Amino acid sequence: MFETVTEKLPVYTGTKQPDPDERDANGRSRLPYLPNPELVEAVNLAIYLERPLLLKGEPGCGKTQLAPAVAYELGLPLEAWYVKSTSRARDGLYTYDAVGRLRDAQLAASGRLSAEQLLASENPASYIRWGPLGRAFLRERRTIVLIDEIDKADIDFPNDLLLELDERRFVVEETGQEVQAIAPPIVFITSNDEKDLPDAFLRRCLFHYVEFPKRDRLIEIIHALFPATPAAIVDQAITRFEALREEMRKDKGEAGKKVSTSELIDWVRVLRRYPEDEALAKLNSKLPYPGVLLKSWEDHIRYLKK
Amino acid sequence: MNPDLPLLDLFNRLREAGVPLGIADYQAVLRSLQGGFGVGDREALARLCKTVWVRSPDEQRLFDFYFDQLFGEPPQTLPDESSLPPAHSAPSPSNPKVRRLTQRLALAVISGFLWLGLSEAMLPPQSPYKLSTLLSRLFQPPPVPPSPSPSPTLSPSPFPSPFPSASPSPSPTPAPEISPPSEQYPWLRYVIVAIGVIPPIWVVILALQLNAALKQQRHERSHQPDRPPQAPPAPLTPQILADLQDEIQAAQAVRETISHDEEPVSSRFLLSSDYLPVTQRQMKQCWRHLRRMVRQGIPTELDVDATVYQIGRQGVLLSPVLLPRRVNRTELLLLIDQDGSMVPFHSLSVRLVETAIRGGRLGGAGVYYLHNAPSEHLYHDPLHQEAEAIQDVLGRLHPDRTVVLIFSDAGAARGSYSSERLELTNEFLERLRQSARRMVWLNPMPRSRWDNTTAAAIAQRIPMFEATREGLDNAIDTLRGRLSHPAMSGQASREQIRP
Repeated sequence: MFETVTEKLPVYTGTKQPDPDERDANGRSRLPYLPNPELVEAVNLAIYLERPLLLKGEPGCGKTQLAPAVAYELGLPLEAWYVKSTSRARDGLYTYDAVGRLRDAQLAASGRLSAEQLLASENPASYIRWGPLGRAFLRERRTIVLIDEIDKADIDFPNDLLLELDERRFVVEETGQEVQAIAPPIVFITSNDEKDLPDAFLRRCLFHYVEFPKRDRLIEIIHALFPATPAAIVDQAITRFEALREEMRKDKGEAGKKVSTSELIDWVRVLRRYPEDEALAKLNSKLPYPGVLLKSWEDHIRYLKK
Repeated sequence: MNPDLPLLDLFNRLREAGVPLGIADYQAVLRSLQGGFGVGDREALARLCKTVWVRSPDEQRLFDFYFDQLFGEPPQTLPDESSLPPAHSAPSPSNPKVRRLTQRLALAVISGFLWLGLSEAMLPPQSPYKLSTLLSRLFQPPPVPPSPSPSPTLSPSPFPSPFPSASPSPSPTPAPEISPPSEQYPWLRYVIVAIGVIPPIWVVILALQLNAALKQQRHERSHQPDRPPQAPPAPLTPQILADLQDEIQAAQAVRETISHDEEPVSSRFLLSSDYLPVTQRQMKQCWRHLRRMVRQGIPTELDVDATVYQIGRQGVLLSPVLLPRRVNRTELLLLIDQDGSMVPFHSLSVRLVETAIRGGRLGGAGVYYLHNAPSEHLYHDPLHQEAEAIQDVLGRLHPDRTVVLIFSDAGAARGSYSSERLELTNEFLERLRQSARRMVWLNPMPRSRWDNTTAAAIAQRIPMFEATREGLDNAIDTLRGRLSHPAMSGQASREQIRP
């Protein structure tokens, strides 16, 4: 089975985009994603080498959006694991419902379980709740796994995932069951660089720094998202946006928080509700809707004066 | 794939520069090349290697530097052609024809020298074909003018002075009519003359060819103004220098710790502007150990053993027994001695602070700066501008969680003993002991320099370690309570009393 999977490797091109009103399983509209060629190459390399792809970059540059886009184009299922500060590595594999098992044992003792439930309660494996990575390992098809913001968890969290990512297997300690991935999953990991990741973990990953898009690509992105927006508004908005970004870069340096792609998208979304001449008039005067772009009081004071 | 690619060199240099790479990473690149990745051009190869081998912007700068060094400069990087004099760019290695000719020319010149050596060795001392005889004849008015020397045609060749003057001079043509008075092998001289004629002629032909090739190349270049000449090597950015220095100094530090007992360290100490016995990577690894896991907070985890035991006692499950999660309860207070004798160690202390903050180890405590021994205030910034009273700082500390690391030379850098400083320090340490769980002192000076200074006296009161990898490891083990230290006996007994 492993052989048949590796023979025809899926190839990501980044060109297939969803229709504007296409919706995903949860009813949210699918958004187009326009990766640059380097990112596409990195994705294909990760698929080929079967290594996780670690994505870093400014907040709001589309790190998290990549995984759904790849899943959409390749037609593969997506498992997303949004890491929290309390997350533990095992949560992504499975959790064991020990309380449920105790409850069932009590109910069985008092004879209040149906025959079916009684049968299930005798099997310890029926209390395993699989996590995103566990589900991906068990699936016959290749699955895309997104481990989002891995740096939010404790610093030992990435180290606890080494074996799972390296050999794609783990053991359920409660039942002794060993889970070996049927098809190697395609793993994307995003990090906001709040904490350093351990070397042993980094060694197993491929790394790609998601660059801020160039002007042409920004225009493409806006056109793909809002096809009906007049070109003059898009052009003017991006000019204004880039000027603001450049000014922020000068003030804060490379590391400071700057306006990002996602904020630009929100901003254009607001602006396009107005007729073309009104929107242009707004863009040519004081920065319109600063709340969308400027997220701190200092930024408001500094960039709104002009 | 192209077997000529210096990939292994690149890989080894990155490893030497401290990028954590394994053989599997090298194989991954080879596999990807076989799989058709990164084979298009130079940029594609760079992208492939970067994706597999580089994991941070710092490493990327290192990578770019080595990649440019090994794979030549990227085409079309520097547009300013005027900055380079055209004559300086003579045999560009990019033109294979020129390179080939240059190699052949060198070969010809070498064979000329060989012939010279051979003739000196084989011919009898008075032979007129020997170089020494010829040279002595040259200084006297010669009976027959020597044949035209090839030296003017050689002048544009890349090899400047020694060859044109040496190789044409042994030209054997000037005096064929003089026969040697006594010669054992008369045929030998014809052989040697015949062999000797070949190299100079060869040199002349090759030099002419090379000249033509260079002219053609220059011509091509002038017709393609947008093709830049080879750019100067990429400048080392301060970041790369800092990284490299880290690793170089680490190697030195290892050598020093191995060999410094017999030789005074002071001689090689502070030879460079920065002293970095511990690299940033090592610091990060050390900080990682600084943790104390405690079950604290809201009980959320099920204690299965305790629950089963309770069911066994009560006969029925009334409520599961829950435990709080294990969380890290360590807050680090970092006290950095700044200025004065600590100036040489500023870059070291900056790294220490940076790695501690990035490693997420500071908790609620933080970094404070002081000078020598604090009496009233600690400072938030290295420039001693924002002061805060010591009692306010200490009052905020959580006495059960806080550990303190003091980074100071304790007077060992100047090598003096000051009872005043010792008194002040002891007073401060006593106050600190009240509000911290454990404390250690990290001294950037080697242990051999502590004797007869204030440092030795302070080391009696608080565990003091050298700022090396081993010292930092031990310091952190002490902060975790793993290592007992003679100076800690007071601290330990106090802890036993505490519940």
